[in-house]
Amino acid sequence: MKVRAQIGMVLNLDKCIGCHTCSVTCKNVWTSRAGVEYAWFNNVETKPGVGYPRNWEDQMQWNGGWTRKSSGKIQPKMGGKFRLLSRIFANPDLPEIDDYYEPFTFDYAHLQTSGEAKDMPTARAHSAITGERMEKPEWGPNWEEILGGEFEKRSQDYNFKDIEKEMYGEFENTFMMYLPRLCEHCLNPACVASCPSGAIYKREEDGIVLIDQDKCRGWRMCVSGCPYKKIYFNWQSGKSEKCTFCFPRIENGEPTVCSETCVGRIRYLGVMLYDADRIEEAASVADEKDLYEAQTDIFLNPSDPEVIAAAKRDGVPDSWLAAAKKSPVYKMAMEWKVAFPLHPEYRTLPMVWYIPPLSPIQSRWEDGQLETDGVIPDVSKLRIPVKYLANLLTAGKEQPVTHALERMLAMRAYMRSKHVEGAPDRSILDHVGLDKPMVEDMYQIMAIANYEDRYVIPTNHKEYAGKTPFDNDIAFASRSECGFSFGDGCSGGEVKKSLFGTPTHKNTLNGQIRRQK
Amino acid sequence: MSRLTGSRGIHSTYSDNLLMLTLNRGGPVVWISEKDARKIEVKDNDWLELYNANGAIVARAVVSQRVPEGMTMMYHAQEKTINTPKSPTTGARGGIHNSVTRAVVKPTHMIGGYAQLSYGFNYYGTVGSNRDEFVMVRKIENVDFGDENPVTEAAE
Repeated sequence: MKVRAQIGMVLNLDKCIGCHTCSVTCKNVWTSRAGVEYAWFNNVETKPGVGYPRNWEDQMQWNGGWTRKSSGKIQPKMGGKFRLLSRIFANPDLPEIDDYYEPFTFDYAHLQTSGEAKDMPTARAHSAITGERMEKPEWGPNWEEILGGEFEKRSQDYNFKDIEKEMYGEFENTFMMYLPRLCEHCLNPACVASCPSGAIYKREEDGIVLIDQDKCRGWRMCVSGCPYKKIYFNWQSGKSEKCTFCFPRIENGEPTVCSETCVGRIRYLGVMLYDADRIEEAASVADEKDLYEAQTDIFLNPSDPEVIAAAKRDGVPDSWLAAAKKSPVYKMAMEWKVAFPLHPEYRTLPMVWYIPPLSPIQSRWEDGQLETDGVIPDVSKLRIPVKYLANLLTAGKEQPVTHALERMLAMRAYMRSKHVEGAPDRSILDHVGLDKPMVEDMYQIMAIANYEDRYVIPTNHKEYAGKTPFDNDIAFASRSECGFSFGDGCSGGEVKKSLFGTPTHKNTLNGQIRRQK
Repeated sequence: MSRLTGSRGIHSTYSDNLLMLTLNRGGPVVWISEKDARKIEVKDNDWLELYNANGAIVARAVVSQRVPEGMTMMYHAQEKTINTPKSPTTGARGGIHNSVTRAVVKPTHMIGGYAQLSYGFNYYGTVGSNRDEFVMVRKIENVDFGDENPVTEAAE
């Protein structure tokens, strides 16, 4: 057993209101620079939909993630090291800018400077890349918001696999949910495996996956390798960038910006202990439907004396072990079994997990009464098909998702019996294998969701970082600097020099268009 | 045609901001049903003109199953200051959600002079739900932004 600790995240989709505050605050902090106008380290998609970049989930198209060979070994789906190197100059699996969207800005200044004209002025859209006028944007990071776009196009959604989807295109059978997405900071990251320069690494002390901007040579193999399409190529600096899990904040015990600003209080951060020796074993199980359970098998119980002893031996600080015991992520994923990994079938062992959303009970809507199986409403009658959620979260295995939804319904029913009817109904709990302290804890953390319950983040230990001199060097060298500024102080990301010569481009995210010379 | 308040906009706060426009569709849109769109051969993101006796709106189509047949809706406070072409019907720039509606007087407004009980022509009146209107919807084939004075390209 080799114990490692990681800060994991859980997003409670049951509470996501699709306000995009996470996306906006992340964008303002991390990607408000030239060359990454199109990049959203965090974005929120409406499901069902093909998303951003288009159809990102379908690895038949993108070849991201891992594949299991007949020998039982796994290798990146886009190919092993040799195949990968042979294609560094022509990579067919790379998304193009139109797969994301052509970033745009508006000629706001024209509204003030247009002079007298027959019609009132309008701020025309301009491409942030070419500076040319655009008649209209054609796609964006949230194009399908609240089911915008024809069902025929949106239903290309990969999660409709094995579902008779036609009926869901009818007005009466419409369903939707929001899916906020960010880098998964995987235990078995395909981006790390596919980088020819060895520039991507997973930090030992907290599991955050980062790209070393000095080592990155812009081959973009990681962009293809990542099945979540959460690595973005900065076409101004010529390097790839990704979500940093706001590591400067995490190191100080503060939540990521997306979590801190979440209006619906859907995000949770906490320590997960795992057995690093068993990662390959967990990622290589034969049946992809077993991947979710295989991943839970390598998470370690922070209250188990054996685990604690091993963790101490492996240098996990005491403050981290204490935090692990209070980790809301551990509770949701392991004790209550209500949180699931996003697309475990990619075999990346992702560490940003999701609680599936409840949805209106369709039959109630149809015949004016709620169908129940005696105690709680029947989960199979939820408006969002369980199979759809299973395709998203458990590689198609419905039982764990059903179990989680039943527990959430039971929690509601129990708390309602307690607070509204004044007579707590224990039979509801027995039905789903919960007991009173457990459901009270679930209610406290999932429903009340106080700040200190949602974020249990130990600060980084200097002595622990000292064992990985690489990180220590970076920490010292980059002290007091601004992130992603390419040695340009804190000027807001104006690039002076790049690998490909002088900058061609001005940052347009301040609302100024790039003028044609 | 009905007017709605946006999912994350209060009045015009977010309908002209670059990030919020990027997280939407980058300019004025109206929602129409898939069935109606098929009938008038409109695809998602096509330019539309909506008009009636009151006036006309120009905006792009969001074709969605979320809208029932025969209905169209527009989130309020999207202004023609953002990427809006001219309306073929009026010959003027675009038009906004209020262009095809009007605020009607109701008897209590006749009292007058008591804040909410007052009336301003097409400005202050009954609540939004009374502003449902019948509109005609058609596709705009030739989009004209009327840029007789294009942007003067100043040096950076």
